[in-house]
Amino acid sequence: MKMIFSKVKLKPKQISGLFLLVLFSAVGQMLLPSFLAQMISHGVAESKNSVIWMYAAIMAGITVLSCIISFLSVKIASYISTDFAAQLRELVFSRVQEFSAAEMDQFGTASLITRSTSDITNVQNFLTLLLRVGLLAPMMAAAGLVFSAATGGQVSSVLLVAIPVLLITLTIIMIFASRYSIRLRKKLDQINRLFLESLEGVRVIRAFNKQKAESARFEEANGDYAMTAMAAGRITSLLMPVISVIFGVTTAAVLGMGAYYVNTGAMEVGSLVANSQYISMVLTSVMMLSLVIMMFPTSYACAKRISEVLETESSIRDGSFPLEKRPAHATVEFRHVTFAYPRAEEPILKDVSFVSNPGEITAIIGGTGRGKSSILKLIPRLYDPMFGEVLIDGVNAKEYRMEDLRSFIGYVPQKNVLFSGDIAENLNFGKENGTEEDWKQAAKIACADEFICKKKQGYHEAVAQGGTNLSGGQRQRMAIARAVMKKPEIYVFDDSFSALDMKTDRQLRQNLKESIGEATVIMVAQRISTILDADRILVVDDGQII
Amino acid sequence: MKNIRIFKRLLGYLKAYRLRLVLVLLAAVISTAFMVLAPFLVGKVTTTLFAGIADGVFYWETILWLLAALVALYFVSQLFSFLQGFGMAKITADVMQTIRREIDEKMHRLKLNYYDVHTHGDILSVITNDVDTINNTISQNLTAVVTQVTMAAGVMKASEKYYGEQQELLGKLNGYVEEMYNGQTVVQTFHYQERAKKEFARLNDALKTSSRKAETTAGAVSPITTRLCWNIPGVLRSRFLLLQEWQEALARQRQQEIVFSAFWMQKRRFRTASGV
Ligand SMILES: Nc1ncnc2c1ncn2[C@@H]1O[C@H](COP(=O)(O)OP(=O)(O)OP(=O)(O)O)[C@@H](O)[C@H]1O
Ligand SMILES: [Mg+2]
Repeated sequence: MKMIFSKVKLKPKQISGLFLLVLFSAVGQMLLPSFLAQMISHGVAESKNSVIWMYAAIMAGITVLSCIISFLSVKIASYISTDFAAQLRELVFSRVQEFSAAEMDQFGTASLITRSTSDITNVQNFLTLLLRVGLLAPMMAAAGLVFSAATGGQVSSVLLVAIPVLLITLTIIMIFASRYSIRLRKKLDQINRLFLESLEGVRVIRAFNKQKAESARFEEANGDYAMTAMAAGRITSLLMPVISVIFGVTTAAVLGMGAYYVNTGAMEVGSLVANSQYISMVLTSVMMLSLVIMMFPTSYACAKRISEVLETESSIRDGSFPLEKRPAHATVEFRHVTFAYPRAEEPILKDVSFVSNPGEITAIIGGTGRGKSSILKLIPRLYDPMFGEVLIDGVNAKEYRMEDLRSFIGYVPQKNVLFSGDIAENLNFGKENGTEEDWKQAAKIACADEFICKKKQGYHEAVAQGGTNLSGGQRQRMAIARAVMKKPEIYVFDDSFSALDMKTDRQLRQNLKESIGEATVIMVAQRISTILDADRILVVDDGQII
Repeated sequence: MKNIRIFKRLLGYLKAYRLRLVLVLLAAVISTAFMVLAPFLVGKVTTTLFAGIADGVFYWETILWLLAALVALYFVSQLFSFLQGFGMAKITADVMQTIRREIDEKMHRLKLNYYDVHTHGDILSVITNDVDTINNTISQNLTAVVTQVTMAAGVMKASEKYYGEQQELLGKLNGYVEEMYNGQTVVQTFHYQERAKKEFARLNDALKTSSRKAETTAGAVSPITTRLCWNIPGVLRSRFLLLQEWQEALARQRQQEIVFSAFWMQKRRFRTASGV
């Protein structure tokens, strides 16, 4: 919490402005009943029309004024809360952008997404509520109590009963409602899960003609959810009526007691009417405030989850080695590298050593899950080794600024992530403001030009999220072209030819060989044909090179 | 346009509940009518008191009767209000169940090539959006139509427009976050962070402006109209509307939260399960 407020800059002017407006608004609300009382005592009781009209005009004026004030205060409150949310979102997003793979693993992508989106929305909604209700309600309650005690005498003692009754009722209903909402949430999760399963497995379900069975399974969960939703709806529909009745009975009690005091002469009719309004104001404020308080725990949990993100520093530190001073070019050397994923017990790589020189191709092969990708991830410093060093151009990778290091490494991950947008935008990941010339060149090398040219929009053909509207092989070539756009000195290919047919595979390697010049290539491959022309073949088994 | 389409569909679903719906509406009307009588009774109490002062006698009996009537009024009115909510809960739950069933069935009927061009996220977001709108329409608007006849229709429209726009931008922003987080490895190795931050800032700013508009129109104008329409006799009424506003905000938020978190969680779970 502290973390959030130390980082998000709220404008004190806006807050004090809002505070003043809310204060005016509370005073305005309190003045209305007092004027009503005066109108009754001096106007109605003495049948003086001119006095009645005067007070009516004053009250109309106050109402208009309080409308303006409430408009302004809602506006300011929304400025504060939207500004707060925007700043917070930006802070969290920027922080996550700095995270290394280790922190991404630690939180998990899904959790980070929730923290950056719906958690922030939740906190924002609470802030809005706090600004709109949390400020006004205590002032109204306090002012109402003071006014009522000052003018109503004994009548205000009704509150001694009404407030506890109200609070107890609210708590009971809320407890039931929240119990239902937890159950509801679980059942909704269940429905979503079944639905998503059907969606993802739609082909398999059709192939085995299992639509009926799947639908029946879904319908069961569906009916279950509907039942719970109905029960929850019924419980919540109890809330307003019960509160209304409490208010009604309170009003009647105030009027009854007041009538008695009017009879004894201790009270005027006007102030009785005013008092019944003061008392309902106090009750409303108490109710609103307790609702805000009930929402607090959820929002606090969200805020805490957000703070956790903001408090986490990237575990990978930037170096400062100047690029010009590199003793070598296009070389990668592993020296006795041992590596374990954060929080894993066993090291994945044990004492790995090799060198790849300019113009050379180093191929890495080995069974699945043996640590091939893990070796490659150390090169662009997605992780740091536990022991030993990874030397890039003769300097420990940790010495470079991250931006510099990655500027001359062209990494093609095993999982080819493409982004929504168009083909050109995806290629421009490799080179900001790349031109059509650059795209064509890169695509040609990656053997991607033939399929791009067939697209209606060419380089401006749309790419769906994750690149799902491209075939696996097309995606691979896009990812390679994206890396080629960089014109790197070090190419890192993680199983990047697996989805290509033999012919394209050969053509692509041929193109690469011709175009990369003195660059060094490190590639993981499955096919023997792919690695035939490698200068060095490393066989990885159980985290070791054999 | 979209809303009209959805509203028509909604009417189709509600046909089966015609009788129930009429009863629910009747309950709402009765509840409102009784509620409107309350200020009259309060007024009567004060007039009786004045009369008593003028005549020099105290009309105990009349006052007690009036107060008893007031309490009874509240009970009856709120009983009907509860019946309305009670009946509505059943209708809402049933209609939502039907809609979900239809979606599920449709999914099994759709041509397979539909799945080639639409991502699961696409399909899900279309569905959740529609279902959400319908759910909101049923549970809020329908009852609101009856109890808040005086609410200026134009105001609702305007804020709804901004609200829709805000939802859309929020969806875009969340989609962007998801994409960038999932592609973190690529983002980092291509040093795309700064560009991502810029794009994010652009989306974030648009969202901020839009939600400001939505909040000021919805939040500021409706209290004004309600205050002008209702306030003079009863401060109580406007307090209730504030509470209602709060409830709506809560419902909105909860819905958003449920839809999103369930969606992400499932997606995530599925990914780990299928090993993608
Ligand atoms: N982010 C991670 N956190 C923890 N453990 C991981 C992580 N990524 C991979 N591992 C584990 O490290 C081991 C080696 O994985 P790696 O991806 O390097 O294998 P691989 O040789 O590339 O396999 P494949 O041929 O299937 O791609 C596996 O046992 C895997 O479970
Ligand atoms: Mg691998």
